[in-house]
Amino acid sequence: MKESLSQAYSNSPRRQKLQIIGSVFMAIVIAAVMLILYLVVSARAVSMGRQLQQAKDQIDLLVYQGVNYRNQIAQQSRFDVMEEKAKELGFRAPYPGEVFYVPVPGYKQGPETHVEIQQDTQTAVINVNLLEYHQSLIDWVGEQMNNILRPFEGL
Amino acid sequence: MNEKNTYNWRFITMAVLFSLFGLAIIAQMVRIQLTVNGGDLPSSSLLGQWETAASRRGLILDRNGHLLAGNQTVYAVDVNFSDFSQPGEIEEVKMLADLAIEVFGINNQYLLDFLQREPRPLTKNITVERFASQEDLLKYLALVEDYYAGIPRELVDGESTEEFVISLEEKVEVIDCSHLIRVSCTPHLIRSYPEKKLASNIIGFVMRDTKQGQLGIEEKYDSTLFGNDRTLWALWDPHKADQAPDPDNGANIVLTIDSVFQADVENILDKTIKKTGAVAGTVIVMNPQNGEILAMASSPRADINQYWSEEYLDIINNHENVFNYAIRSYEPGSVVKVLTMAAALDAGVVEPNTEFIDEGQIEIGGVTIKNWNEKAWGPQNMTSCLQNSLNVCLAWVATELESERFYNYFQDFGFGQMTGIELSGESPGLVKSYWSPDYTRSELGTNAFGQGIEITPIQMVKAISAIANNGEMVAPRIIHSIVDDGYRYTPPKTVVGHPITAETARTLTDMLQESLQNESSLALVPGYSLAGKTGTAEIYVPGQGYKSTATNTSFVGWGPVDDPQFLVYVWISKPSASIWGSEIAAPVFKKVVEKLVIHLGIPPDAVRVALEE
Repeated sequence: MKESLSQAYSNSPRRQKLQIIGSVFMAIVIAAVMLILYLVVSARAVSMGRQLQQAKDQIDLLVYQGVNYRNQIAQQSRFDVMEEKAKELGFRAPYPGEVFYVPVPGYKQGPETHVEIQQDTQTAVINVNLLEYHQSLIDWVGEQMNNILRPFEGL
Repeated sequence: MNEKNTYNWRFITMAVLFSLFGLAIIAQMVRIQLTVNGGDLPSSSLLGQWETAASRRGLILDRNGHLLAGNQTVYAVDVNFSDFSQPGEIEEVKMLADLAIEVFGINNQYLLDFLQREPRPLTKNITVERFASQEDLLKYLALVEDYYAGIPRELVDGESTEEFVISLEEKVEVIDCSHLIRVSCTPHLIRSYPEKKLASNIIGFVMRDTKQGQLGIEEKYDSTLFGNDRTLWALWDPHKADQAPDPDNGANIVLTIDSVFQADVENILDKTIKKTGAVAGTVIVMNPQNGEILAMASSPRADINQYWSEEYLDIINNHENVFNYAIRSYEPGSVVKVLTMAAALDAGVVEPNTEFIDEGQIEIGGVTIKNWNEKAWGPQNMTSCLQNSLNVCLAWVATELESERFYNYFQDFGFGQMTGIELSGESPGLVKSYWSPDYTRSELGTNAFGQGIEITPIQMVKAISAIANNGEMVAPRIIHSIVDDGYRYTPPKTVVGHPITAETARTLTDMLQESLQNESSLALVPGYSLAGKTGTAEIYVPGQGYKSTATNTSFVGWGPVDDPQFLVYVWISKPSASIWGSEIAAPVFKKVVEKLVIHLGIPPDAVRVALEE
């Protein structure tokens, strides 16, 4: 009696069609979700790529500007320009007899001229090895699933 | 049954709707691929573009970080001469060409012919200027925009009446021409020398077209300084943005020279050449203890920003190695007597008090050698031989040494070999081998006082460093450090030999100090103990022999003698005011040392000793 009721329920034409429709809808929904996720990841990758391209253009621009600034500073501090300014301010080069040497206790002149350089160069690093560039959607879904399931590991 | 049909219709309707939706998507994809413009999608112009990373050539700095060679942004200016047909457009193109000729001063005949002829369709982009400066480009753009805005120009005899001045900000900002349809400007970097002529003989220059270093440091260290402008096909695809080229900047080079002191020395040299009517000259200042060149002035010099100028043609083409006289060989004359005496003292064939009767002439190898005044000086010792610069005495000293030992010493002093200084175009000089077939014994006598051999000033500086530095000969160097990507390489001091003993060096230094004081030389600087020697060499003229009216005057000196901090070599070529080294080169030494002691903070001997105590 129980089996016949169950069989009657599932064999009902309406129920059969609903199951088919339900399966199709489920497949469409899953496909849509997957597509949306893929689009979101792709859009992020494209956006990052564009930002990277723009950043590189900006770097080039800054290089040109930096070169120009340095050039202008060098032009303004040229030896003949500085000498002219010093003369205008009333300075002149000393003669040997005009120089006085005073001993400073504890001071010792270094043997070499020290050239200052930055030992630990701070370089602006742009990470181009982003996962979005080479991670497939399946990998991404797997990673997300792992992230979700991680708290339950070991239970 | 009705209910079943109703369901069927609903299912069919749903299926049709979904199918239509799917078909619409597929149709859209097909449409995009098959549309007329769709064929352009895979075309290279839409996939990417050639991109060049802005790589800069390494800087050249003095020892205090003052910029001697840097970079500067210039622009390649292109005008688009294609895609026009209407009369107005033809007029527009002609105006762009005329303005380019006026502003950029185009004088290339081929380009002028092209720009001045009637514009022809199908002509593509033309580069009207490859190295437009910030000022010129802004002026050009301003005139172009005035033309588009319909603002008339005021011209007098075809020349603009307006003075174009740009602000400091405008000199620095990178110019963007993208708002103009027919004009484009692409920035790129070229070499710039803010100090113009200062130390130009050391630096060399970079060819604009080939970007290759020529002469000096620029040539010698071309591959180190070179900033590799990496040009790659950069894809528009943002997924491949990481493939865009990164800049590859050249290494920076720090020189041992001090630009302020270099300027002082150049100033002294230039004034001397002008005052004495000389044609050229050089002054080298080196620290004999470590070989660092503190200044290396040479005259004439060129403004290396304008290396193509006719004014500098001979210097830039380096005819007869004139770009830097410090590394050019010449017959130095009596300054070589110092080294002849060093060899003889070291070999033990003479002592400071060895007596020599000067009879005014000596015959060696069939050639009679006379003194500079062609007189006999009578009884002399070795110190007075040097003090009076007696050719006869030094020729005799050389014969006491004999050829083999004499030339072996000269070889040990580095004559006939390049010093290895980091400058392109160094001459090795010329010293004959005593076993060569064309060698005659008379050359032993003439070589002893600096005639018949060719030596560069930098070789002399290196050789004399052995005397100034207690027998230890150091290699001269002009590179202080090379700095690349945060790492620094500093070449070490290089001792290249001990041609004489420390005792010989001290003895000779004492002799030269004494002779300089006895001579009341114009080289003496009050308060400082100095050793040195003048040199006057007649110049050989082919077909006429040695002419006493044209001389090379030289002076070599160092101090303080008990702790030498500087070694100065002076060469003034063909002065007309006087032919003597003691009157032309010695005062230059004095002026240089007066500047140097202040610059290096070297107190007079009495003060220094008191301070040390």
